[in-house]
Amino acid sequence: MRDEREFVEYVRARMPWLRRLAYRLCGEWAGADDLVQECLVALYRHWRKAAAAESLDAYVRAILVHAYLAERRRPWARRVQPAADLEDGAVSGPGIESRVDVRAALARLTRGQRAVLVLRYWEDLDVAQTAAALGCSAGTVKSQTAYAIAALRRLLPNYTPGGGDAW
Amino acid sequence: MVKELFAALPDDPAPPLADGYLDEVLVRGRRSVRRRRLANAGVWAVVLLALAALVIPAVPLDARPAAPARHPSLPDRFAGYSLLTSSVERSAPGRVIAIYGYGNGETFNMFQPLVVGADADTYRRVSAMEERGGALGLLSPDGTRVLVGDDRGAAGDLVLVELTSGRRRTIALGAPVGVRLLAWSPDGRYVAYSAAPIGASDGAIDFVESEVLRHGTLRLLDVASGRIAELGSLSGVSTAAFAPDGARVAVQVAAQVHLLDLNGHEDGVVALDSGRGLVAGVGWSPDGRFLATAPWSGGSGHGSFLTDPGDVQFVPVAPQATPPGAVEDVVRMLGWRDAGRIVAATVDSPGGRLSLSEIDLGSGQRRVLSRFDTGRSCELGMQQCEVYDLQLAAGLLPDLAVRHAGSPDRGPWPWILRIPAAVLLAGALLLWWRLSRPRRAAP
Repeated sequence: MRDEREFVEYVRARMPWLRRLAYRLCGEWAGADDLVQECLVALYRHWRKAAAAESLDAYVRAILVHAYLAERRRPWARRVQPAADLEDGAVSGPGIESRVDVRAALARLTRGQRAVLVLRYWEDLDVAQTAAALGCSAGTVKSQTAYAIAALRRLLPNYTPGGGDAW
Repeated sequence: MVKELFAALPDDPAPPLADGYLDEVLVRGRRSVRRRRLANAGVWAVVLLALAALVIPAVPLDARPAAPARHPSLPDRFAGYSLLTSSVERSAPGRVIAIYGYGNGETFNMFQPLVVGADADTYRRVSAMEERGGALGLLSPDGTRVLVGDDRGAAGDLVLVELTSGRRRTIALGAPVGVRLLAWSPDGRYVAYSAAPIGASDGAIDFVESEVLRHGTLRLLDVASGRIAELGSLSGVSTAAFAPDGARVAVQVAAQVHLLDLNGHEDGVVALDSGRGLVAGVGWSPDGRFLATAPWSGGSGHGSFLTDPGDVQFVPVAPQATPPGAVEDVVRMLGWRDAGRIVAATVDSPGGRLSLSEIDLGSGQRRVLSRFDTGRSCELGMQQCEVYDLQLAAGLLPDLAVRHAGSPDRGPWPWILRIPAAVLLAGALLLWWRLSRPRRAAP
């Protein structure tokens, strides 16, 4: 089947990108691979529509993000959310400890807040691209970004980027 | 600042994918597509079935009323009460075997004037009767027409409902008068009725009936032409029945039955015992020799529930004839199979279940032809269903067969139910569509 061949070719080519995005959202690889699989099954189901989209990557990103966000609405979803314990005290450098603390703080955000931060700052998408991936308006992205940063600030009160700048 | 924070987060190296990861994706993807197709097919099947359930009963069947069978027939049981029964005018039933009032009015007025098919289990309401104050509808002997009077007050016309087409025809009466319809002639050409000038209604249910009973004079309507002739000068006519050849009509006034020809000339009088009345419409025997009588207390019986048994007695038209013996336990005599057998409404016990029975006048033997459903299915299950104003198509009785009652065909649903049903269906579809859409969540 021609559609299936094209699907397989696309998946093989973009698998590293998809796994990385899923990992950034989930925070752990097992959950990320499950999320990617769910996304790819949905992509298989809608392949023709996806292939005809203006940007196939944007379409797939939206599927993945929606699958990630949908997890929180499923009462039967019992995925373990990685949440490293936050250490008390200041985090002052870019070393391994600070990375753990930032990831642990991200894990304690809501899925929506985490998604908006990952897309805007880790995936480096602009507001419009983030809005398209989340399926909401640009204004909502801006407001949710502000809420997410505020939440992150509360979780990392002593973080000083580059060792000097304050939040 | 936040960008800097994320820039400082290098990705951990990805572990290798599990073996057969992509194959598993393809298997699950194909299964998902199959499920979606099945679900879509299922939903469309449900939608089509629901639409069919709405549309099929809504298709007017008046273009194809039941074709007459070789023998007219009576269902072995009458269908129960239903609010979904359509009207003759919306969906013609074809010729019918019976007309009757059905229902109860203890708490809610839920009476229905119904006809039931002579060739199929078609049940229809006669709207013209409902519109005219629950007036009596007189069923023609061949079961194809119902003539409707007016119980609301003085009437300027009668309504003739054609059961094979559902069409109505009004027959002008001239100056408005109170009307009681009495009998069809056996050939269906004439209807004898009693008429009297009446004033404004006093609010009583049987105002027209009681007024016309006291002062009504006999008139003969030529149904085809609409011509009306006064017959004789009798006043206070209570019941009438045509002779089997249609050339004479027996008319009861007080305790006497006057035999008149169709020009109004009287050629005999038959005296009745006190408290007896000529059986309405069908009281003259097919051999022309006897008149059937039933207990009579001066009223018309219109609108009275058929519950109390009495007897039927026969009086000779010619003095030398020997009449059959009386038949006991008859609620109402409804017609003749032949000169030796009558068809009557009977009950198992006083207030019991109403049946239609054939009774042999010689042996007294009875055969139950059909039963009514008089269970507690009326007024939302709170009341027993009652039967009243029951008539059979007298001309069809000699050839009558009994058929096994099938599922009743009640015609298209009333609009008042079809519209909410359609709205409910549309709402259910909309809800399904909304729930089945992938949700777009705000972050």
